[in-house]
Amino acid sequence: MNELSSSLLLPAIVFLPLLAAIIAFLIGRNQLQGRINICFSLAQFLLVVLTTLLFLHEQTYQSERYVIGGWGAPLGIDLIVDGFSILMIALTGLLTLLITLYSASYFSDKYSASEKSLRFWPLWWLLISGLNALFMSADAFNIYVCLEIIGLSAAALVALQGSRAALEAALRYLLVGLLGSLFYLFAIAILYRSHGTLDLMQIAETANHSFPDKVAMILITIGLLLKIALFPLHFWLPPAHANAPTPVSAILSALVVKASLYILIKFWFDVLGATITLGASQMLGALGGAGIIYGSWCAFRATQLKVLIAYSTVAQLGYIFLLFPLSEYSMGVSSFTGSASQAAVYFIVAHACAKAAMFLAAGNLILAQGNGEIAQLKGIAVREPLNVLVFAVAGISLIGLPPSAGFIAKWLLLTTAIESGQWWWVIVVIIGGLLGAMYLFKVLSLAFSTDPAVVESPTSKSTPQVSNVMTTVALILALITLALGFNAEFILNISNTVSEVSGI
Amino acid sequence: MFNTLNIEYDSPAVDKSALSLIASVLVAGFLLAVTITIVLSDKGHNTGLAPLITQNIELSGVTNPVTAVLLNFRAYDTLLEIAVLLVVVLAILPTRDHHAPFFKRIVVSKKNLVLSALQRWIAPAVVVFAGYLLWAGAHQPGGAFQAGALLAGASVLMFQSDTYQVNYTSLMARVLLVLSLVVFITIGTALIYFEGSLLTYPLAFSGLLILLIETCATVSITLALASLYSSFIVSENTSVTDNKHRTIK
Repeated sequence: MNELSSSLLLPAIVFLPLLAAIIAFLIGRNQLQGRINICFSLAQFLLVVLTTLLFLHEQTYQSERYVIGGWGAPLGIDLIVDGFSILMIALTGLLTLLITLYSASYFSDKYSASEKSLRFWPLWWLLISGLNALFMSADAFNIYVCLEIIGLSAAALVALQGSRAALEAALRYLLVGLLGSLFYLFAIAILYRSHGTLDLMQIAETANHSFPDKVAMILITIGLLLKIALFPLHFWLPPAHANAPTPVSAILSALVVKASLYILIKFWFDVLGATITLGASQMLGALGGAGIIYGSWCAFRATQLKVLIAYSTVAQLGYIFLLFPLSEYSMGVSSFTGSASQAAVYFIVAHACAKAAMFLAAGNLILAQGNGEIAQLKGIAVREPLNVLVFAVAGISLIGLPPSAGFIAKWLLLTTAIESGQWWWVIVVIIGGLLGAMYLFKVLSLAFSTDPAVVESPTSKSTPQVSNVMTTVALILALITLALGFNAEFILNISNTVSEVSGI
Repeated sequence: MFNTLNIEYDSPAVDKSALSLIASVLVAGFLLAVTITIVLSDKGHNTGLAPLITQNIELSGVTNPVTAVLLNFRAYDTLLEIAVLLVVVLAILPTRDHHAPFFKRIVVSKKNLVLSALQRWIAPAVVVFAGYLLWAGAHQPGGAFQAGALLAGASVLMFQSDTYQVNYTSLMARVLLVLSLVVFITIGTALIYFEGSLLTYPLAFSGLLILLIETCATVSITLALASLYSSFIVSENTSVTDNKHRTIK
């Protein structure tokens, strides 16, 4: 056996969740179910940590290629990771571990959701497997297959809730996802016709400013924007994310939209960078800016807690899209480096942790309260102090107040905007922050206002207790969000292994 | 899951939204056609991977290029596609009846002569033909997906008489549904040990391993497609089966 390198572990990261899915499907509902899944998530996490450490130790821009089947690039499929993908894989590993712990409680026999566990666990692991496979794929068609796994299992997980609203949201989510995939597939067909290969790096070598490449880039962008839910294509996201079971909402907002975003960034900067024009990136930025304002405004007007958080996702995705115009000024390199991409990477990580924490805390609050009306949360801080704390910490990160991961992300974004002379994005970011503070403090001020009549009402005794595990997991995520605010260089070093990190 | 959705149409006959939908579909279709025409008019056509596949076909263990691509050159894609199939099955799988037997035969008092004759004549022929397609996949068009689709068609025919019932959530059914994925992953990872890389078939056994994977895939695909059919007619059948349970007692 030759020496262990990060690329040798890549197939294991895909197959371990697949194995977990098969076992979860075979054992069905069982006393040990929760424990087995926690073991799998631990194993998966350790594997991911090992891979990340090996990758960091190698000190390369990209890992070696893992050649499946011994055929090599144009004929077969290769797996490869670079700094950005290893960061996404590590993020997936961490969130998988924590949300699996949460789900083991959420779907245990104590709560009404337990009968859905037969379907939840296999779909959950298939989703994780699809995400991992996506982040390490070096093949355009293989990415399409991964997008299918992710899209279908995510829609099925939303439908798990079983209510009419959830089914409608899931069906719409499914159809929008399929439409987005079809756009992508069409683009891949065009790329294959003009380049004769499906390998991303080989396409990148021969990509030029020709017409088919431009059409392909436009189709990929439209298809993936549908899946990412950038304003004005966000219409499916709030119902889908708000009606799903709580752990599913968390993973959808934290990772699933980011998977499509990852592909878009990959095509935009690495693969078809030659086709990018100034107008196109300014337009994406404008849509992102509109998304920030519109999403924040809708979140402010929402009456349901989970709808508020879902609209907040629409707004936060808008910030990440400011990456496209801001990286413009260093366009000559045409790769995913520079301060704008660092800001975007940091934003992705910060939003994933904060939004997952917030959804889990909101799920706990809803469980304690009995329904998701914001108006009914009055005085909940007395009964569920820890969950309100988690909500507040996650909110601080989403608004971008120090000391939190969100603050660093926004700071990087603002400095890049000023450095590149595109001051108008600064205004958008600041207005977005103010709107974010508005909708989050609306919830918090309600939660902290004391109303003796509500606190001592007898209905609070009939609602189930939120288990300690569920609160703890949310708290850990919130603490990670805070810790990332103090340890910014850690994340930036992973995503950018070769070039020195500067600007903080 | 999705089959509980009520999709009855109770809007007026001339629906404004339907008209706008048709109009937008027409516009989209027109744009699509224009795009395809313009893209196809571009001279930068590439020969693609076809020459490379013909060069390497002797190393793949099969002679049909489609099978070679699906199960050898790009076997990883096919493996993930089989996982997609599992996702679909999971989405529509009913949750009740864990412990009922996998396969149940119910004696029906009222027999449909035409239907039962059709079943007797066609179903065995379809099974034989599916077996042939599976085998033929190695050197001419055919293979697991085609054979599985045929077998699923045969099972749809058999379900028409309500004589046979399959419980898709029984352990046996679940084992068969994941069989192809399990076999695929097992072979793929075992080859890491023997050959040094995922899904690298040794030349001497590649034909055999591909046939083994395809056979298991046929079983899983058949059951998956049959479960799709059964789950969409379940609402009409539940009352029927209830009546039958009573007649048996």
